[in-house]
Amino acid sequence: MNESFIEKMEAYLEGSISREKLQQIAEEEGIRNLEEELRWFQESRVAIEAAGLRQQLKEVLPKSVKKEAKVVRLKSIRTAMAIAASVLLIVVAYLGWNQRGANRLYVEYEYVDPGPPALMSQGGEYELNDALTYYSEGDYQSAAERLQKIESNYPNNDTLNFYLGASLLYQGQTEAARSSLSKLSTQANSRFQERADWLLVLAALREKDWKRAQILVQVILNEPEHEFMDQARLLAEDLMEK
Amino acid sequence: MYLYNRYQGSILGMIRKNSGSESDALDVFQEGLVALWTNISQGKFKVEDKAKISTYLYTLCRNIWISRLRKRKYTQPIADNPQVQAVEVEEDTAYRERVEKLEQNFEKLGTSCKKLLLLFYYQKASLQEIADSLGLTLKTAKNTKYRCMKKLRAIYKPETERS
Repeated sequence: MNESFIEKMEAYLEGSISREKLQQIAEEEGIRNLEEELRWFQESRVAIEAAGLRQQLKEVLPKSVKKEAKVVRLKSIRTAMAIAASVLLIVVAYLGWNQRGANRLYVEYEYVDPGPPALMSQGGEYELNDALTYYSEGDYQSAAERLQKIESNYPNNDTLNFYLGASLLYQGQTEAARSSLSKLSTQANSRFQERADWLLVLAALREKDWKRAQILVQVILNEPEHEFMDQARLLAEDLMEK
Repeated sequence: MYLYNRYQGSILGMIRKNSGSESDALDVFQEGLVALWTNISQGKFKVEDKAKISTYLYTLCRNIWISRLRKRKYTQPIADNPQVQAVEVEEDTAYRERVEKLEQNFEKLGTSCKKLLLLFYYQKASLQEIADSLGLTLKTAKNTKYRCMKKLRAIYKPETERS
């Protein structure tokens, strides 16, 4: 399937060309199963639209929060909306900066971990949760500063190591990010292990260290059930061109 | 927000009556809107049929909630909101599952791909507008869109081969 054929499928779905014409082009292009290609394309468009709608709804609809699991208590829907708007601004600003500062492969394969789903305010972990709240809001600098400050209190804590590594990576501090993320490889059965594997690949991409990226991708490809298998497979192909 | 303000009462009431919380209701309401959107794009529901949109959306949310209750092994009959009459909704489960899977595949793409494809297919922006907003040339925007679609297709292929 080439670029021109995608455009032709778009034209067909918009009614600009007939089915017969599309069939003829498909035969010329050597596309054997037009029915399947069309179904995939049409359903992918619906899926992209559904993803867009879901994203927009998340921004517009009031958020429901678990009262017992919040570090920051949301006083009203208006406050929640204001915070959501600020987060969005931070993300947009971050993405804008990122597009300029990073290389193409990094941007194409970037994975931004959304942060832990719920933060407990009770117990003696206030500082850790405070730092993770900054992380979830997209303020990676404040998150990293706070996590670094308490790092010695939490030796071998995989949550801290992962989010510190991620915060540093998203700010472009790849060497420091690698140091934190690599600690996860010695922590057996960590739920962050596979995400850390991918962030280490991203750190190599950011540094344009293609050889290291290839090695790290291979590690993922050797694990058939790896969460980032699909991305690793595609990246491996792109890295072959390097 | 209009849809939320207009219809959330009946849906929230129905979910609360059937062992759900406000948080469940919000979640189901969001899923219901996405299902409404996909049904409209599939031609199963026509927007001109304004009189039925409330009951249609209510029924979609009701079905989503029933399916979640089943997963939680909840077997009590569902108590409906007496003010709303559920309607018959033609459900194509296989289609919905395929679209859900494709949406998951889309989420696996990089930030830049997701942004560009959302602008093109969801926001309906032209390639020139996308190029301008992302600071790209028209040719790069066009190439990137193709590369992103190719990636989406490549993720889909191994999965169909696996199944």
